[in-house]
Amino acid sequence: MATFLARRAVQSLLVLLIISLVAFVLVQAIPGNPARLALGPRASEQSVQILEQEYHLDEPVLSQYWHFISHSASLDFGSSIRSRQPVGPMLLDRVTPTMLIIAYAAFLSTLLAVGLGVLSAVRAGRPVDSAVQVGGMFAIAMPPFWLALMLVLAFAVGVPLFATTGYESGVGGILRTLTLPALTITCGLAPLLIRSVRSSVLENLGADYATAARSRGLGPRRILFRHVLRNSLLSTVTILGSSIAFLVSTTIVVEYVFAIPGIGALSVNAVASRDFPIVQSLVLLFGTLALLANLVTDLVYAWLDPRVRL
Amino acid sequence: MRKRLTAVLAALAACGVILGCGSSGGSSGTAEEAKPAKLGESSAPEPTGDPVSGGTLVMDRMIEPESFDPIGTTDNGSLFAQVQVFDRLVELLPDSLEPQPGLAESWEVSPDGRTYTFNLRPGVQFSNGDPVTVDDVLFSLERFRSPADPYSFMVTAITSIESQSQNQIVVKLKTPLPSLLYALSLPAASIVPKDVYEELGSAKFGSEPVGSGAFVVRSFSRGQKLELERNPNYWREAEPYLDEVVMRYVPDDNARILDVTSGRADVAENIPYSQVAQVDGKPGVYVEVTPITGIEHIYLNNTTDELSDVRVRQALAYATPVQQLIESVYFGNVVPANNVIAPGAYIDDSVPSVPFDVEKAKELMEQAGYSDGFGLTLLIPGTDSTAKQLATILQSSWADIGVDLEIQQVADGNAVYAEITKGAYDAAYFGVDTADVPVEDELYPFLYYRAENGNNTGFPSSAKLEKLVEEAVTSTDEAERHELFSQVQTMGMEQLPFVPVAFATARVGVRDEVQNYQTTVSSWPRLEQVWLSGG
Repeated sequence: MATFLARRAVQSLLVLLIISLVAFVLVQAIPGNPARLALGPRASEQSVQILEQEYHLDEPVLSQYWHFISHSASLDFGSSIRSRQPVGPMLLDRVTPTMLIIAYAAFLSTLLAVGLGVLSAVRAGRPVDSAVQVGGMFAIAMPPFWLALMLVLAFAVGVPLFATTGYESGVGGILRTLTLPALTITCGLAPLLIRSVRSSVLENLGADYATAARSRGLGPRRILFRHVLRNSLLSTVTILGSSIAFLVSTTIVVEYVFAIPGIGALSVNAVASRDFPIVQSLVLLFGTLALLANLVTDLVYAWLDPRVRL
Repeated sequence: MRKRLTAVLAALAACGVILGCGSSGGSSGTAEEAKPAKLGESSAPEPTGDPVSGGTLVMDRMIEPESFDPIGTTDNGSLFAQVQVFDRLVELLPDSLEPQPGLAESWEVSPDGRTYTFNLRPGVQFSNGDPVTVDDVLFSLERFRSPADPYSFMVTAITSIESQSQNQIVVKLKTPLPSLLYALSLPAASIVPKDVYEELGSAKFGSEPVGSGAFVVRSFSRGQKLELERNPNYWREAEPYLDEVVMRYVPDDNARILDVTSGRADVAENIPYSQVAQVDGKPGVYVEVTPITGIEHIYLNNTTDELSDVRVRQALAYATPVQQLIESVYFGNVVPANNVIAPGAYIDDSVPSVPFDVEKAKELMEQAGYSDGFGLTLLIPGTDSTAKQLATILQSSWADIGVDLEIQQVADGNAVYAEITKGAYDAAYFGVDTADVPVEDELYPFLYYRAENGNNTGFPSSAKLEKLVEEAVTSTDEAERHELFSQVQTMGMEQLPFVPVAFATARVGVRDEVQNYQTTVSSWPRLEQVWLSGG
């Protein structure tokens, strides 16, 4: 386990370095000089140069990259070209609502996946199963920005249970402000998981070990929940773990519509204004999140499946 | 409350090419009552009842403030908030184009126009209780004219700013600068307390500013909302009427509209042109459509083989169905542009806009030797649905005169702008182009000779225009300035360095109980005179 984690850490660092370099070069390739954009079309060339020097924007890309990466190592991510606020604390501030939405959505999706997936497998071919399948396709077909607005209309304006915009901390605040965003993401994610649970449960119900358990006289519930479900969740965990990219990208849209101060909205604005220090730090953050998600997936996998040794 | 829009449409229908939008103070808003508001005239409905103190105004804004440091910020998110928190020597208020007294209660201009003496208003305090001193003013204005400030290009004529006594500031100029007062009304010329700024530094002051304006920052949660409360030390008597202002950052158009129509917000900024009528039709809300110093136009690279010929540029303008664009892209909320730059105080309404005349356009193409037409690439931001509509209409209209328009989408408006400054384009559209001050002094020099700032759009310099503009921006005679700017405008509409489409408007959704909500020509509201009626 310890060697596994150590190896993983080294690999992750290398991957992060490569991601950050590629992202750095890509971001710089988007047309638009950040200093010129920050100061507006009519600012004098001298004003632009002053800002460029302050942020090392006048240096070659690789030297800028070195500057960024060497400072990042000591957790100094620079400061925003636009707001001049230090990027590190800013990201810490913004990552909380985003992580809460993702966790909330993952929780709701898992709950739905286990409930409806098992139901649909046990009742395979019956009307309940068809309803779940059709409902799932319907939910997944709805674009998140549209779905978000419909949820706002239905819940927040029609039945004012939830807030339409903004973010509040605390359990009550989170439930009030993040439920609709989490539901929006769940609609895109849960159907995938439900299908996966359903098919694995069906497969496992017909497996030899299930037949053996049945012949030993175990009740159907015990077989289903103690044996079959645990085995069926393996593939679901894989899907959930690899959905992190989907989760983050949907969160960007959802944060925009619900005006949540997360990293989604921040990244949209930072890219639009070419606020390089923020964009580059965000890439590092997203990369770290993806690697962490993979690590957690592996750990959960090992816990679910004793055959997997780390 | 439909009266605003009805009035606007009626005014447009009645007057055709008149700058501005309808304004009717009455209650019925019929065509007879409508009078077109001009740039700088109020477009807010008459307030009902007397001002009442108290209450919280909730505003949904499309962009959030980046920083309260007046120097270095150019985004509307920051500027709109800075205006509420700081004072300037002179102020641009909603119902006039003339700068009004602010921290300077009066001023004198020397006969040669090269010395301005400002008399500071006595007894004004910052929100922390410190008096506003000459030192604070000097400090703030020196920063304003330092090269690090992006707006300093407007005041390069200043040679010195000095204090003459404890309440007098003297600004000396190399050459007369009739636009000086306008420059001093910019948010960048806001007066900040020297000691506080020096102690906190830009980043910290940017989040926790101290000013002498109507409101004080109570809390600023970036990415979410800015809470302002009334400044108890504010110098304008009884103002502000509001106890609190909450500026929420709601980037999504539909979310802002839902908020203001459902009463969750009192004000929603940036209602898309396409949704003005729909929001205006909802009970309890109206849309205030205010002419601003902005223009929608198609950039042309005047150095390409085809576009360097004035006849070709004219042909493109004649082949542009401005009225159709106004109806289907801007939904009637703008008026045709009769100038090639954003309108200002010196706009001459008698200069005609370019009519839609395909035959004339074909003739011009023939004269220029392009009767078979040519291919042209139009850059537009891929993020902007309005731009796509605009481009598609242009594509089909310009095809009638043989111009084969290829629409090329690039990342966003900023990417389009970057290509323009590189000169790597034929034609481009990147959204509304706004002037920072409501006088023509700012934009004409860039268009006709001041190319060094990367804003060169490719118009070959014209000695005659350069001379006219230089005279106009240094003349101390108002009548002469009007005459000169009018000539420049007329020549511009003949030369057509760009294809002018329409003068832009600010569209703000306001709930009926909000009284006296007025938008300035620079698009920001002045909130100190706003009050809430009936709770």
